[in-house]
Amino acid sequence: MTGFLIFLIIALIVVVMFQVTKTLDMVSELRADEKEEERHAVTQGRLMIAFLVLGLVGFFWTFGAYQSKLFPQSASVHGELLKNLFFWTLLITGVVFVITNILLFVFAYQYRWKNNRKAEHISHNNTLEFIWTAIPALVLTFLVVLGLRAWYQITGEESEDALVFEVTGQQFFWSSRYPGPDGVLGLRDYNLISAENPLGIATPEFIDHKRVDLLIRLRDLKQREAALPELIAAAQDIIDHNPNPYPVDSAKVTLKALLKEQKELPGLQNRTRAHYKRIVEKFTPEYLASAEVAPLIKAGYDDFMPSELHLPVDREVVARITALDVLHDFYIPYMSVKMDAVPGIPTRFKFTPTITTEEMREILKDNPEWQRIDEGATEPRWKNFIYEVACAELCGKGHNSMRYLLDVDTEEEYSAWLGQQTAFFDLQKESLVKWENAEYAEFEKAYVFIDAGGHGDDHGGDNHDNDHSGEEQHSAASASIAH
Amino acid sequence: MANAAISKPASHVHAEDHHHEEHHHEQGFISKYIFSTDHKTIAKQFLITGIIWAILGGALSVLFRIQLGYPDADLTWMKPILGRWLDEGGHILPEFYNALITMHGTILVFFVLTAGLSGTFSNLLIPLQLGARDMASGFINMLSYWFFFLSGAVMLASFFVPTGAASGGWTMYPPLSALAQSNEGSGFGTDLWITSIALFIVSVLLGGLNYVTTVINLRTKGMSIFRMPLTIWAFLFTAIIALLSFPALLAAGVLLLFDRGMGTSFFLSEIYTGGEALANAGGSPILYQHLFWFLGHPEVYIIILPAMGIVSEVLSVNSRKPVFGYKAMIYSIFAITVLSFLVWAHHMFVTGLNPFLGSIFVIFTLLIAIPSAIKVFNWIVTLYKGNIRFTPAMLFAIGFVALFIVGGLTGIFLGNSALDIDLHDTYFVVAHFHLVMGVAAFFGTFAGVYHWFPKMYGRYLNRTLGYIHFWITIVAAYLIFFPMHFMIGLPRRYPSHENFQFADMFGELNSFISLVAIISFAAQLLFVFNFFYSIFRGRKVRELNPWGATTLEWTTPIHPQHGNWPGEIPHVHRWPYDYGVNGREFIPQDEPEPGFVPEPEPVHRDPQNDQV
Repeated sequence: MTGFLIFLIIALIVVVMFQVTKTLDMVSELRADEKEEERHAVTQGRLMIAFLVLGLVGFFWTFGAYQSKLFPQSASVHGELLKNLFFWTLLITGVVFVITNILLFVFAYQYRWKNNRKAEHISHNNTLEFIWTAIPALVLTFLVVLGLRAWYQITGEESEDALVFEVTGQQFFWSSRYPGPDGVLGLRDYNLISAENPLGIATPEFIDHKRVDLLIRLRDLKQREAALPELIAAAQDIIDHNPNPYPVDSAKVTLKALLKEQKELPGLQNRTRAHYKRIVEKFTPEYLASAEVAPLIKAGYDDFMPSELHLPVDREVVARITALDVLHDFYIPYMSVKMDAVPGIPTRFKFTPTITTEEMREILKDNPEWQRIDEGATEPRWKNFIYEVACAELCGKGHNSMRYLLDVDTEEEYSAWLGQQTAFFDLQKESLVKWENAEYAEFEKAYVFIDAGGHGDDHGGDNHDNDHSGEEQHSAASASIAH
Repeated sequence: MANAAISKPASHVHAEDHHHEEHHHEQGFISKYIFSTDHKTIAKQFLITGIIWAILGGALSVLFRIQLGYPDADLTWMKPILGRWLDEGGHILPEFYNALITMHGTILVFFVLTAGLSGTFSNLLIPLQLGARDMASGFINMLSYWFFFLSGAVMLASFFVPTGAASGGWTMYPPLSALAQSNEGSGFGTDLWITSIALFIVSVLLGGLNYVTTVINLRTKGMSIFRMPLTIWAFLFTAIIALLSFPALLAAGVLLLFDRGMGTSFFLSEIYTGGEALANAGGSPILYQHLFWFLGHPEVYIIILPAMGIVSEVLSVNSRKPVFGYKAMIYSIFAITVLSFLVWAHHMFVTGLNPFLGSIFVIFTLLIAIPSAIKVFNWIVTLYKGNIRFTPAMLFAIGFVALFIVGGLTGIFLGNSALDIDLHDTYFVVAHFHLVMGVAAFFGTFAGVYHWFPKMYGRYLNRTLGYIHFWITIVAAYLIFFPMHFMIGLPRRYPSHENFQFADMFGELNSFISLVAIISFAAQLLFVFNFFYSIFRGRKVRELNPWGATTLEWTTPIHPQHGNWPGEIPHVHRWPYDYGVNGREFIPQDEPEPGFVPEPEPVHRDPQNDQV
């Protein structure tokens, strides 16, 4: 019914439009005389001027009206540079904007059609054209110089004693890691990520734990594969022999899911095996003991992973930015910090926070926008102010929920906070699993280094060809890590 | 092959047979209107297909503007159309929001402002303004349209995929677009997206080859390159940019397909998703961005150059003055063409790009502002001391200049890498590109449609509706996009901003913008109505040259048939901007100089065949 009504209304509108347009056409045909163009010129010319005046008023009005919504003050050293750059750019472009718009609309009005006016043939003017090539060139050079000076300051050398911390984006949250007392972030590997080790910190204990994790998973997958035919047969049986329609329908759904799982299991197993092999191939005893890697492994033990960021005020800090799954972007609006987080390619951004969270609350106190009391809240917004980290690169359906908090502390507060942190490894070590060599060997033989020729699915199982030749070696290598 | 067919009538015109029935074979409906090789029909096909896509793309934006402006609105009544993309309360799901913005961008950038604009006016005007009977290859031209059509059909189909249309943003950055497990829309919807874009690229390349070939080879006698109207210059350089840049996107798309389906690692490395560490190693998501923007940035010039050409022409004709600085305009287009290939990484300042490389791109980016500025000044001075006729086309042309100014100036903020740290992926960017290449290109298109509609259909668009259309649209454009500049830190592509203290202070402004957007969309429907009404019922054109223009398209009959001129193709004797000279209001390009003695012609010949 509603659909019909909507259709009726639309049809009615079209019919009315049709009649109105027809009338308009007829009227304009009747009124078509030599004055016609002049009449249009008067109306449209006046509208042009009205548009110009209202537009300029609106232009200046918006600056006032939205003052309080703009960022009050940059909370970082380079942010102030950018404010300065923004101001100069705004000033220059603002002047150009106003002048060109006035010329455009005033000319349009001034030279509107008159039957007795003759347009002048002005084809070009080299001097004039040279001037308006040179002026933009000079102004733009000024802006480029100003801009690049800021750019090189922002992207320049990090100072030696900068505090390095790490943020990692994944769908759909941020996590962070600090280097601990030694000041060095430990080695990470995405292959080692598990429930107990969400960033994949690489220490021998975490490596062993992940191996166990994968081996058990492989066993479970194998068992599931063996059990599937029976489940499928059972579902089929219900479908074939049950007269009651309801269980049949649900059995059909189950059967479909089971068949899909059966189809996908070999691929999943292949990929899990490949994953396992990547770990044992990469983390050989020689690798772990090598001069570059060993110190980084050691550095991982005291890393800690707080639930929110804390940074000391007035000290240069460097964010090491990584992503696990898709692109994200580490964005601290008030500090002019923005840098993509790219899987596989860590990026860095150095900055110096200049205003503590407390101080920022004091600054925002006078801002009408922050004096509002939100629905359901009892205090004005400024009281709950805290620096926020957001994601600024589309990362999927939860893109707008990647909120992370940053507290900027005084030096004392920061030291106090540091004192309360516990190394992530120490938190986890109780829950890590480690097997005896024989157990690894047994599982590897049963589930990893099996004859892998039969499975058709080649997703991820790209090491098929090497499986046979490498078998002995892998077992030997992996057995020796496990000691 | 089309030439061979067309040149026949030309060879028997000396029989003084000035009737229109030089079509020696009757064309059926299908070969005349559907699988036509006539450039004018193909232009109309591009235009009408583009309009349909614009309505769809605009409707998508209305949907996500409802989400942004009225997040509590209950859309349950749209359940029959939107189905499972609404939650229980009738709100748009975030996955669907992402699909909406992705498809809005894709449709508007590629289908409307590339195919709809270039496809329409390059096809219509290149042969008509150059004095050619058709494109160099009518058949390839027809293929170009049908590849576009096919590409659209595939894109449309992706809306009906169970996992939804592609939703990785119109830039389709991997890994999000490469991993089906990371994003619902990255399932089959993205395969269709890539397929559709691949077909589209074929269409663009076929069209572009034709445009370039035609401009180079099929100019009528006397049409030296510096006698070509600025429209032709713009179309020529547009086609050159398209030919050189679109293949990079095709490469990116193919590699992305490999990464998606065949286990390669061009763009993927060290990824942990869905509880699984993937085997991909050694690829770089940033490589994709380089390939994408190697097209992506020139693409904005592919969109804006034809609009610039149209605007130059419309401003000149309706000011009754030559366009100011004709040669400067050409050199500016040339400079923009060259520079457009050297600025792509300004979209990537915050990807971890090498800072030195970044600074090179800053310099080239701000350099490109100079030719753009020259064009703006020249347009403004074109009005000076003119006698301006405010046709709707002229209004849209003036509006174009205004929008290009405001959008171009904000480009100076964004092109400076340091400032881009603040502005990247915020509403400031949204405001910038919508004004400078979105709405401005639309204004160029509208100017073109209002101006050349009489040539296309032999009737006028209704003028009053045109005025209403213009004023609503330009006011709405400013009301929608100007305030967005003040949402400086507000991240784009967020279905709602309420999760963040710093970002949730724009609720009222967003409601206002959404309201204006809906009004503006309705005003576009007014244009669509005017368009289709006027095709059949519009006021008839009674004079050959209704705007008093100098260019050759107005020397054809009111309803030109395939082949454009019933008799010989006119020869050109002067540049296209002889307005207000020798005490005359204008002198058409085909009018000989006083005292001109035509060369004796040994045989009846077709200038077109001479030059091929």
